[in-house]
Amino acid sequence: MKINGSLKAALSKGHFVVTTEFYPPKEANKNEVEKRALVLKNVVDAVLVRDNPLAEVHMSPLATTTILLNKGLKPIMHIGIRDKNRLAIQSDILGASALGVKAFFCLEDCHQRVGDHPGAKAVFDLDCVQLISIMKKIEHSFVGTRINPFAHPLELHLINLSKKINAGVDFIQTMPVFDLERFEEFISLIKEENLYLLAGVSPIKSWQALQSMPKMNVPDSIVRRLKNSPENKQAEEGIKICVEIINALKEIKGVSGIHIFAPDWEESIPVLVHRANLK
Amino acid sequence: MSCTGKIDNLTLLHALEEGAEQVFVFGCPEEECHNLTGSKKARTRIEYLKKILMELGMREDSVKFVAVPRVISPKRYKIYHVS
Amino acid sequence: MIIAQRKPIKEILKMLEGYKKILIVGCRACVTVCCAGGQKEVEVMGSIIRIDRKRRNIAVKTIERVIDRQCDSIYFSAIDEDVQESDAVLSLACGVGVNMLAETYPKKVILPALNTGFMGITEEQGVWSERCIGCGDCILDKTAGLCPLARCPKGVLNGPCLGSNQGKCEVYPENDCVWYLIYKRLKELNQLDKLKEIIPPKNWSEGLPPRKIIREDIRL
Repeated sequence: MKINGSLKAALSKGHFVVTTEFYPPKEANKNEVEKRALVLKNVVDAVLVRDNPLAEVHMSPLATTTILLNKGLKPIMHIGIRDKNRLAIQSDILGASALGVKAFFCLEDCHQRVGDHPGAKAVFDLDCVQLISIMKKIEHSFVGTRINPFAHPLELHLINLSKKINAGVDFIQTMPVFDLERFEEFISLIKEENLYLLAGVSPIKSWQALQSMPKMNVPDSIVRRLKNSPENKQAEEGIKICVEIINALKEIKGVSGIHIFAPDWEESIPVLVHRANLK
Repeated sequence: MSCTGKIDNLTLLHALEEGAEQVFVFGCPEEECHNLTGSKKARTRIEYLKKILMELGMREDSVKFVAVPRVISPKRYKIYHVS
Repeated sequence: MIIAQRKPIKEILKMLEGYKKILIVGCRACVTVCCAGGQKEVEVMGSIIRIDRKRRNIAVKTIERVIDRQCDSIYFSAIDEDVQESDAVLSLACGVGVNMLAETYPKKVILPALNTGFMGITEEQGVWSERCIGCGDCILDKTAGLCPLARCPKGVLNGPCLGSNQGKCEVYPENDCVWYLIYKRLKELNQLDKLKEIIPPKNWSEGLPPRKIIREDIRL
């Protein structure tokens, strides 16, 4: 399997790609990464390795990416803006690039106050627009970022997106989609042709889990389906709902693939991919 | 004092400094404050003072706000001096 | 102006342990406006210290003073004698004033009663918020006069961030998202194009301590 730019190649060939969010372990645990890699390898096209997600300390994305590369996976390396200044960030980009990583990712990270070191001094030396420009300086790099299609006012976020496009961003992932109608409204506003869009999806484990999820614009019909299912059948219903959404997204023009958010439920990913006929 | 809204924490502190064991502030119940927000202001200021007093290691009830309907005057209460 | 607030009482009393003659000195400038170190606060502080010592049967003499500013040593002439007479000076000025006292009276113990916070405004009586971080390279011409470094917790220069929604901040939901406010103002001013310009990474060389500005044309 070619690693260099193959996510890019797959997208340019019109393949409906599947990527997933990958939280590195919170301990120094190479075995765990390798085990998870073996499961995901045959199921997704690329793995987005997150950098201290939720402002909690995790194994570094550079180390995790290296382990994944050795197992034949295609990592997209996220570099956070909260914990590193422009020197450290460029150092990581060069290191990753030297190891063969070409796909990079940035987003405006969670603030340190929500994480496990609320008293830490944050950096925020670069923002995402500036970081995208820097990442694009690497030859053949393929750079992505994230957007919330349901944010209001959308005009403000689209202006920000246009700056990211001017900075050279290649693909965007959206926050998880549950409201397909509103999502289609958003798609109609994105006319940029050279931008690949991966729609976010997230299987909801239970009605309880839904309560503790950040406000994600979940339509009442979905909430009711989960609530009305018996507790031991809610996970199954969550998967069903997710598969229905994936199937609908496949039909929407402008959607080049999906990005699965299931950091607490990685076992669901092969199930989703299989049931939605994605591999 | 015409309204407990005029209460100043410095006055209460001076009373404690001069040896008072407890200071009572008599005022209208909050919902019946004659000047609308006076009692509420008194209460928030006394809450602030209580925090200082607790840091000093004093009892929380060293200062107390007592709600008294306006028609009754504190003169009609018996005040016991404890030495 | 500079906004500060009083340190916890326990911390102040601990600092003052062992000192018998304490000069409490306030400031008529910023700390008076933010009700942390003016006349009233000096008197309250004096009373607190005396109550504490009385309860523990330890003698103390307190002197209470307020001067116009503590960031200029010319105002110290009014308290010079009191400083010399005291074992410790408890300053209710901002950190600048405490430093100034320490530099002017190297043989005296100078203690800070306040935690100095930020440069900001009075939103309403009793509420003060940050408006400027003193970055040394002002970009307010690009953001309709509203500072993203002072008001965005992520300090993004090309905002908003992913979490901004309904005009509110993701990190502090009770706050407006400053990028939303900037967007509204630029729209009203018909200058939305400014929001489309990419602001490059900040030059922090004028924005970090220890800073000094020299005007040769003004020096004697």
